[in-house]
Amino acid sequence: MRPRLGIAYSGYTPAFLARHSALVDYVEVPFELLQHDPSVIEIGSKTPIILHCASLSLGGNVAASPDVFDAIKGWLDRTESPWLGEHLSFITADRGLAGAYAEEYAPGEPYNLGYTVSPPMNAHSVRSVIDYLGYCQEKLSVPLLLENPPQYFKVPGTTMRQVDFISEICARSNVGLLFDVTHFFISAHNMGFDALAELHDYPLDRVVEVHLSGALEQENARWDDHAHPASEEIYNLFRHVLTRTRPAAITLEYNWSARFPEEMLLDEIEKTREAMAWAASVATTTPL
Amino acid sequence: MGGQCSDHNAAVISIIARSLLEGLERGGGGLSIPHDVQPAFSDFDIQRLRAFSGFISKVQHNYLWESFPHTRSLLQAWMIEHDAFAEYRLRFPPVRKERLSRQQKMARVVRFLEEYLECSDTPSCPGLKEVLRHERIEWELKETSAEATLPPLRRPRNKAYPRLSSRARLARFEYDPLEIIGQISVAAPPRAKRRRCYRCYVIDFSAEELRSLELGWPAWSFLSRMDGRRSTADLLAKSRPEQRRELRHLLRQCSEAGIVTMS
Repeated sequence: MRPRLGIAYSGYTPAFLARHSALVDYVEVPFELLQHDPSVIEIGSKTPIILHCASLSLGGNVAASPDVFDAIKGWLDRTESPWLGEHLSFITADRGLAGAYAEEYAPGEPYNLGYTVSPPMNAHSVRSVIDYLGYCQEKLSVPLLLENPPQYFKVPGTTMRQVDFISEICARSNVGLLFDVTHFFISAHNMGFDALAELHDYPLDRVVEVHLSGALEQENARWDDHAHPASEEIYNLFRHVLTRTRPAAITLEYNWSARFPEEMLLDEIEKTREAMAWAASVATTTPL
Repeated sequence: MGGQCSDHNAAVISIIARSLLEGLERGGGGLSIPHDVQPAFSDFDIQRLRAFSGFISKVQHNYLWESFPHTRSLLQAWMIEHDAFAEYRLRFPPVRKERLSRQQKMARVVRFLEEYLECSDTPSCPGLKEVLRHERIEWELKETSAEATLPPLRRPRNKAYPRLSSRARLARFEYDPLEIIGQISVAAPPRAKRRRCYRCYVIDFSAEELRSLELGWPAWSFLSRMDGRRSTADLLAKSRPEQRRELRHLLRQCSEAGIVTMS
């Protein structure tokens, strides 16, 4: 069965789907957006929704509150999302351990970055993630997929490659993966490893969903960029991944600009479908 | 679960989170680390953390680019986007208690970028200031609500006291922002040619159109002296005799177009 192709929700999405609904199988919507603007769920009346999340802080030291879990469960029920994609990152942190107590950051609450950050990767954090995953899966009604975060710097305390960190988590749980091709491309550049060589060790058989987006170069590093299309280098990596795994879903993440050109999105959809068709043809002629 | 990871991991996460929220100095000496965790940070790339702080701040202001798309393109082309937003994060760390509207936040970022581009520590980016100002003027005009119907002029035009209406703005640039915008590409920053230029911006609510007109110096100077306290006759008296007929014609056109109001 061929993967479903979806787009990440942005301001232009309703108008785009009104004109091109046949091109898209689903819309990926962030939980945080639904919390801010519940009316976004109306898109689900015509197109299936997959829920994405950046609130559980799976890689952190502060668990999400019961209210957050209840809210996520509520949106999972309303969207009928088949799974919940969440970043293998931290987004919150204990203020007390930072050496100072900053009253201005909402006294009594943890730090909240509002953005996901790759955690220290070592044996302790593997155990912590496994424990927290078990807790999350008890509370959620659908499978959780772990998304590989982009690495922008080596986090102190890291003793493992990201591929080993994720492989270890997969070996000790039955969690599925959301493989973000662009994040992996960014990590390879910033951490100085060979993306294709590293992919050899990646547990791609656990990949359920794939993300694609652009990457920007600045300050001698690569950065995530959902306002520009994926480069040819990223597409090459994507095609390679498709020869190694059959994801259930592929999401084009071009959701940072409500002005993302429609023609550009149409091109990206076509390019992605061509890559899917090519990978399928390679699979029928070449054993994996 | 989340709260049971090693103390060391927890401390690292907390230190990084705090640094990202508070912002980091350009010099990189800003990490405050408890003694027992310091060895782990001995070879830490603080500059990259600072850039990441700017990256997060930039992403959290993605809505800005709907109204300032060319400014964004130029910040990226000149490779100062993350530095600008890292400085912004340092000056305005996200504070939960703050309750600013989106418009107020945008205005604050724009004011900051204008100061940042004037700062001697900021790399020179010819034309970027002009494009930012051009987009700011357009944004401010679009935010202006349509004026109520103006009362008819009851005295002769040469005895009236003209002033620029709230639907219009004048600006003088050292680089023409529209020329710069026309040259924006992903390949490299535009090669701006320094050319002083005078522009008048006017928003026409009935046509839902915003126009930017290039003016000659005499017209711009004439319009910029209209402050509602000098009469048309006074303004014309200060102009060269050979220009007055043209300026009277200009005044009539600007009055009809809603660029100038008369009282």
